[in-house]
Amino acid sequence: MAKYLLWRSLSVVPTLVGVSVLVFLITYFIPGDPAQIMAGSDATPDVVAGLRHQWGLDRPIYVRYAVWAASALRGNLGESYFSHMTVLQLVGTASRVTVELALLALLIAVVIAVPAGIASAVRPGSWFDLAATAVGFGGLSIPGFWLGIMLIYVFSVYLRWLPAGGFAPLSDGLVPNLRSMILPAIALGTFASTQFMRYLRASMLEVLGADYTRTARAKGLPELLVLVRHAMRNALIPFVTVLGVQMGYLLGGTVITESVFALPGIGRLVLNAILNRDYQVAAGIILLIATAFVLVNLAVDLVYPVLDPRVRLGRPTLSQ
Amino acid sequence: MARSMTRRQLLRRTALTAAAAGLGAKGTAAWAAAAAPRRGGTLTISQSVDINTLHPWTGTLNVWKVIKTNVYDQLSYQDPLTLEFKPKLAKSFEWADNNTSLVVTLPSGVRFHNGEPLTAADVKFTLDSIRDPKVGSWLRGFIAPIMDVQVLDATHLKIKTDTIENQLVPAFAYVDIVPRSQGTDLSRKTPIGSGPYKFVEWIPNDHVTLQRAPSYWNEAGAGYVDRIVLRPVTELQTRISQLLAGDVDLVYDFSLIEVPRLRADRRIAVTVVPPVDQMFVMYLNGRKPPFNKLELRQAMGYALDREAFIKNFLAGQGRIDNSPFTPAHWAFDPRTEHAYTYDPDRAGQLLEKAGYPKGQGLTFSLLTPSGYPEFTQLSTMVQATFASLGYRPAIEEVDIGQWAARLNQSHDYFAAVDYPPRGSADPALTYSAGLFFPPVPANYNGLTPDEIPGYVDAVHRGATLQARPARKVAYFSVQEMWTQSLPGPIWCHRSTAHAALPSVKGFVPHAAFQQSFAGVWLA
Amino acid sequence: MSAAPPASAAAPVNAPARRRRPVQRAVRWAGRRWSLTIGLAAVAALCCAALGAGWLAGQPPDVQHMDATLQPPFGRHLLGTDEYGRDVLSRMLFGARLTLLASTAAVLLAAVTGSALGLTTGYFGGAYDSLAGRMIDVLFAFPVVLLGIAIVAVLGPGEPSVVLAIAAASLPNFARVSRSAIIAEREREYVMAAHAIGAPVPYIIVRTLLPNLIGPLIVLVSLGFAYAVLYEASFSFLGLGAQPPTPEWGVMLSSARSYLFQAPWYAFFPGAAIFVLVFSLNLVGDGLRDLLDPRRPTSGRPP
Repeated sequence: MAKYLLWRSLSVVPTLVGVSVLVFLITYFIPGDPAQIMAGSDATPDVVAGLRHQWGLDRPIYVRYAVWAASALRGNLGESYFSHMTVLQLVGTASRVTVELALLALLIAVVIAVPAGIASAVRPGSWFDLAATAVGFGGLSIPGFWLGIMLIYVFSVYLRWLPAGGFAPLSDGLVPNLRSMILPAIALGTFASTQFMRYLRASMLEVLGADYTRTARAKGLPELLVLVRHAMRNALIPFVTVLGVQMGYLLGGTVITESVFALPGIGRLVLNAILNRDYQVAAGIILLIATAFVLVNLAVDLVYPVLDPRVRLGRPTLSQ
Repeated sequence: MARSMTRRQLLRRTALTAAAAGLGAKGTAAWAAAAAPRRGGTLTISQSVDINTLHPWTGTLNVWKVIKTNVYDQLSYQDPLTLEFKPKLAKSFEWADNNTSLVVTLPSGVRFHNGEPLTAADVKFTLDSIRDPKVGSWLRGFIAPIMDVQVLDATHLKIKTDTIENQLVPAFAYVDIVPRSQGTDLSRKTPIGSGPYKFVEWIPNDHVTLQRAPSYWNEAGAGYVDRIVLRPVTELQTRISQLLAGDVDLVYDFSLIEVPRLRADRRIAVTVVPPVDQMFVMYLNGRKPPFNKLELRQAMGYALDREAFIKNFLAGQGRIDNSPFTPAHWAFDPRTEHAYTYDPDRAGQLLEKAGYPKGQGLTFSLLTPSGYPEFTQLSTMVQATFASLGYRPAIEEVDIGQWAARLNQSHDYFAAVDYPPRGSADPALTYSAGLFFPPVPANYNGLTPDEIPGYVDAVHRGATLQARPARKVAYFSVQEMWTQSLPGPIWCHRSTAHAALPSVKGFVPHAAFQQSFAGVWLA
Repeated sequence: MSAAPPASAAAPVNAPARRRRPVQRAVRWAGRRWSLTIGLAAVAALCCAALGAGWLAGQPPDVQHMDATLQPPFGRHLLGTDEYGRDVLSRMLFGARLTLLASTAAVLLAAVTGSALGLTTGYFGGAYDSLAGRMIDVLFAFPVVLLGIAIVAVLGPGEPSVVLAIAAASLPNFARVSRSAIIAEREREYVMAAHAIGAPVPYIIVRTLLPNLIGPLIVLVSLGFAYAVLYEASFSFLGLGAQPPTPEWGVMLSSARSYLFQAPWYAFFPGAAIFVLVFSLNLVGDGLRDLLDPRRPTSGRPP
């Protein structure tokens, strides 16, 4: 087991190196000259050349990669060509929004999925089960940006209950903050909730049909206890893997949601950075997100055997 | 111009002060009749985009203009109501030495926000730096006629030119005076000016904060509110929500299409500046086919249904004009009134005459910057007209940096929509840059003076003559030549709209974005 | 749907072993799998509508009527008009073509390259396997939207960039599935037998191993389709894919946003169309999975 943990942790390193190379190459090949953009449209060629030299844009590609990667490891991801704030500073302010959005979306997803998934599994084939599965299917197929726009129409334009977009930071108060985040969180969390629900239901069904559950029931334990003590705990374990994968979806999905609801998060930041040819910001953010995703999946892979002894011992589980 | 009259009457009725400094007694008297303004409070303004530089001489965005007008002082300003250029920091402008020198008199006792005194030497430094090509300022063309700047003493300057140049005093409204100790590398430095508001901070993508300066050399022009916070918010719906929620006091410059809906909302006050300054034009690249041919350029002039464009995309807040000026302007030539109309048939005939019957053999595209929906809408309408004539041009949408580079440097485009300002300025200034002045490299169209014989002379006459009637004759002939050779169609003038909460008083919008907030107070 | 409890539907019918006519048999078969049937029918209908867009629409998608902009539906234009007075129904039908074409291209590209990669790495193993595995992990580490933004930044906006991005994001799934299937099968006797008689490697892979893979691959393809349609529309919505004034559902939704107050129906129809298409594709995918691969839940990236 320890060998597995060590091996799995080390395997992250080549992946991260590969990610950094890919990210750098992408930003290298983006057309457009950041020196030109920084200098402005009326600048003379030598002003532009001066800026290019100042930012090291005239060095060969492998040198630029090495410099960038080395600084990245030291925590310096560069700065914006325009605002001259460092990438980390920009990410810091933007991540307030994105992290809150992702967490709220996750919360909504779990709050919807867990009861629905369990209730469906407990009474498979019932009208509730069929309805929940149908709704789940719908939630899976609905485009996030359309859902967002429809929510805006109903709750902002028509009912005027909630703002149509924009971010009210926590410093403005908890209520305004939640009011500005509830619709985006629903729009983002819907898809994730469907994934959770399916997985949980399948997992619960397997667990409920297992021998130990039957034993527990035969012992005369109340159903609720059976559910909570035995079934749920075992069913939630594979849940963890889905969680890891969903984080990736959530991080990517925030770009769309932030665009629809005009939230100044990381998604919007990276979109604008690429549109403005703000290379360092774009590269830095993509690298951070990809790294975060890799690390989250690593964490899931490491935690899973701890939770589920069957994996540790090499016995078959649901996902294999 | 009925709308502007009503607006002026309304303004006088509510007795708001004129925004910019220097009006002194006249303004305060009219206004003292109404409620007395209070000092204090924070004015929160929402703008459509974030600024991208702190450099007063190279930054071009309107949102930056709005901010720096309050942080810096300028020698002159354009009165928002009468649209005339008047002295601001300068006490007077006088032509001397047989009209070859402009003597500028400055007030004494003016200090920058860092305590340094503002003297003629700082003004000289500013003007010389802008004239220096290495600084890369877009204002260089505006003050190009300056040959030399001499400091006479701490409060007097002499600017030497060849002859009288009518564009200088209007141009000075764009020149922000910077302390010479700051140098010319200003894009990252906190702006140090001498204006009524001090620059405090810029948190990119979040806000810009200004603080009222403890003392301003012109008492009457000092601000009322203590702080001004400007926030960039791109989404219009968000800006409106923030306004309605009270998070923002003033939404500055929003999409005209929302004007009818917002006007109907009693909770907010909408001001619409009459369409006098900004004009929709299309730059046509005359350096290569097809727009090197006169007939093609004229065909473009007939290709837009301007009435429908104004009605559908500007919510009616625009005015069809073929001239950079509007009828209320003294230089407006009434003969341009019906020079071009929406006439696809005529355009088709011109295409045939040019050798592209039914659009055969025609190739061009329309270049638009992303983030400017009105440009895309205009381009889409033009595209449809040409499509009905047999050729559909592609619409290329690129980011604004690339758009500007392709227009200015590589000239790699065929046709591009823009809305340049200065339709309300002195014609000498209007014709001194970009679209309208052939021999300057900044001329987008690439047309050379011999292609429009007499144009450069007429523009020069208008810029250097003193008597208005003579200038008028010159500018009429300029407009006539323009209309005939059409380096680029001028489609229409555009209003700007702002929305504010009723607690915001004293806000007088400026048609050319030289927006002063010094007269604004919060009830 | 995986929820359809097999127990009740497949209850043994104690009917005499009578000969049923094939049509009746087919109908009963379809009836039992009603979700799959509905899904297939919807997708087929949409494809036909897209193909016949020219006839069904009645007017071209790009003709502007500036005097009749933002008209409500059920008037002279069945689904109303957009901000340029163009017929929304017509634009939606032509938009369907673009979406279907782009999604098909993306999925096929992903399927072909992904499976080829998976089959070869699974069979040969070794350093090639490790290296390819690393690269796939790298691809997998990118949320698809980010990948799309990055590719568009380099190649410029447009459908080809979007197709590439979606294919790149879907690739790992195909690669992993085919690889694990190969690994499971390659030690089996029939493979060893084929090897023993000197059959060339490509023959082994294609003729013996691939047929076992068809089932899961088909499922992946159909689910991948839903994924591709969703993301194609999302990219176009963000302005990275189809450019205005091309009629495309995502693009229409992006424009409709500014007119939500005056013309909410303009935002409703294109989104509803995306929803219906994706829903049907998911029904098909799910139904096929029940048919071909009932034991296995989705692994890896969720659709």
